[in-house]
Amino acid sequence: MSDTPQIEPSLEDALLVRRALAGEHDAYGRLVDKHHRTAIGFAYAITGEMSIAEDAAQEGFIRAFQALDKLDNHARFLPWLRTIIKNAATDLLRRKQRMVSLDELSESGFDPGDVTVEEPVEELGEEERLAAMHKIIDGLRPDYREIVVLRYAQDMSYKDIADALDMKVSAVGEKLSRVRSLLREKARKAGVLPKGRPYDEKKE
Amino acid sequence: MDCTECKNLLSQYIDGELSPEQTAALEAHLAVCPKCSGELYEMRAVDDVTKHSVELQMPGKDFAKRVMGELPSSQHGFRKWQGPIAFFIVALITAVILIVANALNKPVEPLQPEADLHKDVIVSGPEGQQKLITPAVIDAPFSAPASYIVELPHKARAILRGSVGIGWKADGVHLKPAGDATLYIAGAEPVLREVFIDLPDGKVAGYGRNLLVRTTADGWRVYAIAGRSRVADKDGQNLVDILTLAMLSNNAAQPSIFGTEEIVNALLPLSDALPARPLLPCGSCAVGFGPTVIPLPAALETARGEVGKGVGKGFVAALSVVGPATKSVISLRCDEGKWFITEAGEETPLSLPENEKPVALIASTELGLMTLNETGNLFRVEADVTSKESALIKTSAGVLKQFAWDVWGDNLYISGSNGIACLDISYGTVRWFEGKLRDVVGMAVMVDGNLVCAGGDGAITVLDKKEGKSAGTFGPVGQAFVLPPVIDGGRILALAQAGRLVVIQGSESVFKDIPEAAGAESWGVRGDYVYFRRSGEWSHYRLSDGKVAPEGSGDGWAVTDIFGLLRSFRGALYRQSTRAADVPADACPLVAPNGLLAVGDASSTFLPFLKAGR
Repeated sequence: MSDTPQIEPSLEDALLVRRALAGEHDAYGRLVDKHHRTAIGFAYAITGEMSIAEDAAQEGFIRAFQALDKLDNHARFLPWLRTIIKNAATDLLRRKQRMVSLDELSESGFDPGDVTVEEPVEELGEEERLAAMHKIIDGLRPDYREIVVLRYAQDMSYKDIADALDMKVSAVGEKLSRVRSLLREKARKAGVLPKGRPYDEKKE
Repeated sequence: MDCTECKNLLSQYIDGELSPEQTAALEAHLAVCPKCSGELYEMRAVDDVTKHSVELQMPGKDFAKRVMGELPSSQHGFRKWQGPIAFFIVALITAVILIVANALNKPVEPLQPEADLHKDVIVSGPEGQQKLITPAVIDAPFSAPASYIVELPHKARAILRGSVGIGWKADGVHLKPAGDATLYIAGAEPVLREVFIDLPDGKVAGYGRNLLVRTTADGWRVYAIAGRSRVADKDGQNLVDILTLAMLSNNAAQPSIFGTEEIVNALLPLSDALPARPLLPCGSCAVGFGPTVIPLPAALETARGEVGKGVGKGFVAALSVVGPATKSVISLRCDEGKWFITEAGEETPLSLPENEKPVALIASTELGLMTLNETGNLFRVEADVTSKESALIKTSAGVLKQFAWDVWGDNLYISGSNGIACLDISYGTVRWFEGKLRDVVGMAVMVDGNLVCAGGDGAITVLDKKEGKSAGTFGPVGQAFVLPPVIDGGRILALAQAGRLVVIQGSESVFKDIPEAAGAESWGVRGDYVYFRRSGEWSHYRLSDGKVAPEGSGDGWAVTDIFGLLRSFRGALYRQSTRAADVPADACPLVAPNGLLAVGDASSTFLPFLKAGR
């Protein structure tokens, strides 16, 4: 038995929705607080830019609140919110005249041309490393960007990610594994990783 | 495991998503394979920088605030809060009064729906503050805990909700109804609050949750709709506890229980029109109103004593709702570690793991039933009444073994062999954990916002209840504590194993040795008297002159503590104990104003047991 109690995330969305519908403002506030990072992840998949994603998430939460009584299955708040946020993000991008055609995004996903990080001459500083990584993530394909935020910013379990994205749990594991390989490859190229690894694998 | 297999599992390993067997196999491989462990190292480095990078771009904590600031005042097409609550309350009052009138075969005029809901109610707070509240929904008018007075004018109907102070006649709300007035105390929180209603004949209604008080020219009636309430004389004598769904009037010596079935039938037709309300937990049962929530049949079973059978092996717990489609009552219950959903008398077993057997029901919250299991983990049992799908959600693990617990406000405090923890009662998440206090005896007691813990090491430690940080330590006193401390009259008292009594007042502490109290099984303090039980026999020690005298055996009555009475969920279990011998050794009795409090058998109400040394 460990000394520190472990906490598992609870599934209180349905009740919070019900309470929000009953007029409890705080209940909706709790939903927003609980899911705002996930919501930003949903929007980020569309926008590819965090600052726009934040605005889109905000807009999406407001739209969801206004339509809350139309949500049939209260326990499916998150997948429902995702649809709303993606619409809000698309609208926002359209307004900003920077619509990205989703069809253009190929299954191979990442287009190396998107990220222009030069071959590093010397080791990057901490800030530069984070900035370079930011660029790499921005350049991932939409569904990879989304899962990165859900996993890294919201720290969601595979099961929770699967529920939110309507995927199988096993598919979540596979996708994250692929994302990690891709991130590692890009990070190496951009010199984001610290030098002096205990094991330097040259060929992949 | 070979390198290919290992590589395929590394991502899941980092995320902690592998089974224990897979983890063990992978770790065995990593220990001998520098190539794979190097790979893991690099993946972790990528993870770190990814996490940091994403984290940097996340908005601050004010995001939710900003969103909430932008929201329209209500959902599209949705009613505002005030209307339904007012309607809800009038409907409830009408229903309850009609039912009770029926039950007593006495005509009582039902309230008119339009009746005076907007009459001004005066609330007086500490230091002469006064507030006039219209409409009469009194929502925590002053910062609690505080004593304040609510003056209800003739024909006023008021609802009180929000924070209310706790404590016997020290803090709380004093309600002064004038003439024909009705006040509904709407509580949805898991603890009882002490609310004092000054009744016309010099009695007071004590603690209660979902308490309806009606005064007329002829007298008064107090209805306990959920949880318990208590009516006593001004000086605390002649206590009568009103159980769930019971009513007491000025001309009745004992409360009468009105049946849940009538309540269900009366409220069912209203349920569509009522706003969805959270469950109101009470004892092993819950009463609620609204489209999805309604009373439960277990309340009557509680009254008959069928709930709480076989504590330690299993229990019957009910969290009942009305099925959205069928309008029949659905209950979630547990018996001998197996869970069922019961609808219209038909039981469907739930597919919840049986290796996690619950041993106690901690609380029924609006999210589900919180239970403690054999291994000391805390679980929440949730069930979807439509699909009958269920989930057993482990909310915290490793908090406790040989645990004791208590609920204050919306906090659940658990002390166990590996520390003491504070959890959110509804969500079961850990608010703080103090791992240094490992041998706290029973449950800590609460005083002035602090937890007072007596330890097996003979020391008394005071913890800040908000953060769990130590606010001071007394002792060690040279003997181990085996009974929890007692708070009385602003003093902290603790009785150690060999009879050493410690009295702490402010920063002063005094030791007294009482050889007769060595090996006491249970104890309590009131004023000058220290009561203790040894081999089933009660005695008292007088602090002023150090004299010890016997009190008697209690004749088959079990003694429990006032906190046991306050903890409705435990009270239901304790009520099964009909002999002194059944009372847990750590049960700390009596802080009642008139001496010891006793618990009767399952069909009895609580009765005074021993007079305070007189």
